[in-house]
Amino acid sequence: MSRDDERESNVGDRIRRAAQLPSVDHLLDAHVSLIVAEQRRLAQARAHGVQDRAPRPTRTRAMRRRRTALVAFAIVAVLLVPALALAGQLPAPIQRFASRVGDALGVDVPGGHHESMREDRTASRHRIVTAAGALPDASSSDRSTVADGAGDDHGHGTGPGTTDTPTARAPVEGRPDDGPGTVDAPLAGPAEPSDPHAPSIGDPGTGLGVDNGRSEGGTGRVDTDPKPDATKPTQQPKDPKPEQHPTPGVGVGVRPDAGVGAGSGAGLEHGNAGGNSASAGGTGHAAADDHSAAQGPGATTDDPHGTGGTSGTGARDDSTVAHATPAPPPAGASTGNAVTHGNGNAELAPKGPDKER
Amino acid sequence: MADPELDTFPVLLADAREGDRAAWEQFYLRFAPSVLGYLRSQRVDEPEDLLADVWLQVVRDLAGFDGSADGFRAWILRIAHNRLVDVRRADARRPDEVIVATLPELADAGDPAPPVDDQAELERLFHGVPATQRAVLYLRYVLDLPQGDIATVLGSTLAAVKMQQRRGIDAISTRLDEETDA
Repeated sequence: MSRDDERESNVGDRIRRAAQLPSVDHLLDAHVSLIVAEQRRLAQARAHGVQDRAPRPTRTRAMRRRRTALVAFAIVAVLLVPALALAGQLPAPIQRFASRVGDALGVDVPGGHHESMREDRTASRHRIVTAAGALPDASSSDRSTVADGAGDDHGHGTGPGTTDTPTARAPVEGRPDDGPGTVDAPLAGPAEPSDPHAPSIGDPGTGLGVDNGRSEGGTGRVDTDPKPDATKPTQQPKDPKPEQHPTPGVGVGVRPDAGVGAGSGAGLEHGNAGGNSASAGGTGHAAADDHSAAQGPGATTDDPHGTGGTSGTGARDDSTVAHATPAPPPAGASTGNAVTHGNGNAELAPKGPDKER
Repeated sequence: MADPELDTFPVLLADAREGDRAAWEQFYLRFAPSVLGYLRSQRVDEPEDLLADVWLQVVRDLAGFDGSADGFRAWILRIAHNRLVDVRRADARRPDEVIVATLPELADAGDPAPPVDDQAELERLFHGVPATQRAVLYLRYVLDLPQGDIATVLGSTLAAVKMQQRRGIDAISTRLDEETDA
């Protein structure tokens, strides 16, 4: 036995000896009578349906005020929150949640800041597509003669649309192996792309994107539902194998068209020849690749629209520069003079014969 | 071996619920001394009046009780402890000083009643011991309640009961040692 246990035992024994349970005999009658009387009272109260418990405390003024404040807050919360949600004035996370709730309930609730930003982006994209998508509705001559807009370094340029023809848009998405310069013109004149999903479809005569050698290219899209023009040759299908795409020769043309808008562009798209659009009086030029030589739209004299430059040339040159040659504006060309500057290097060996359309 | 008196507890409880006075008398004689002793150990001013209140509460809540004799003892001690807490809270809200000299019937009453003789020795042992430790020691060594039942009575935990018991033992033992040395 430890010392603590010994101490506990000693103290416990002393407590037991000191404590004697008190006698309750003198209280027995009085308390038992009280107990029985209370029991009878409770039985009678239950028989008469009387509440035998103490009544609830009286509601105080503070309790009333607190309850009133609570009810008022609940009313405000119930009415104000949905109103703010419908107005789109809630904080963004709550607004998004409210939007989801509204969708579940079939109520149109704004989606908040996030959705508004998304809508802004969508609207911007829509404007671009609209500008480009207007092209198919235009005539081929328009497309061949009007080349306005200039791509920026990343090919994002949007033509200013200074003529009566739709504003073109640099539609080309460059890829890393595209080398510098992208063309925004179709390979063979203003033909519509054979593949509506092809991202390389260029608007005829659109501004160019000068690729900076990176993967950036023109982001413009032509109308996703182009109307093929049977009178025009179609674009060559793109090579599905990117590794087979040679780094194309670059025909970088910056061709300001005086008065009409500069339509120029050169470069490549997916190994196809880059060709600039031939704007009014301009000459097409191209950088060749292994697939075909590009031709500027309206580069031939038999351009049915007679609007293109008369001396559009397609260059198929693996080693040299695809260049553009300025040409005098032909009759019937759109206004303005085109001065085409094209430079490019086709560095890869061709894999197929030149194509002329 | 079971106590034969405890075996009669269910019958006694049923009779008491029916309002049998004899059953209540047996209940009272069996459990009232423990409750009164506990209340006295807690130095209540009027422990007998408080005992009556405890039994009235037992009558009101008897319909909800279900258990054995030991359970009934712990239950009634829990009621007594709750009443004790209520009385202490009520005393805390009252003024500390009451002018009793102006009351003729109490002017000559003198000092409060001295401790009962059977509690004198216990009061000497519990001198200077906090109320909670006194309760634990009384329930543990006088009424022989298990520590778990003590926790139930006091509305505390088993660990707290053990701690209070240890501290009470140490306090009393230290004081007894000091008195012995003196």
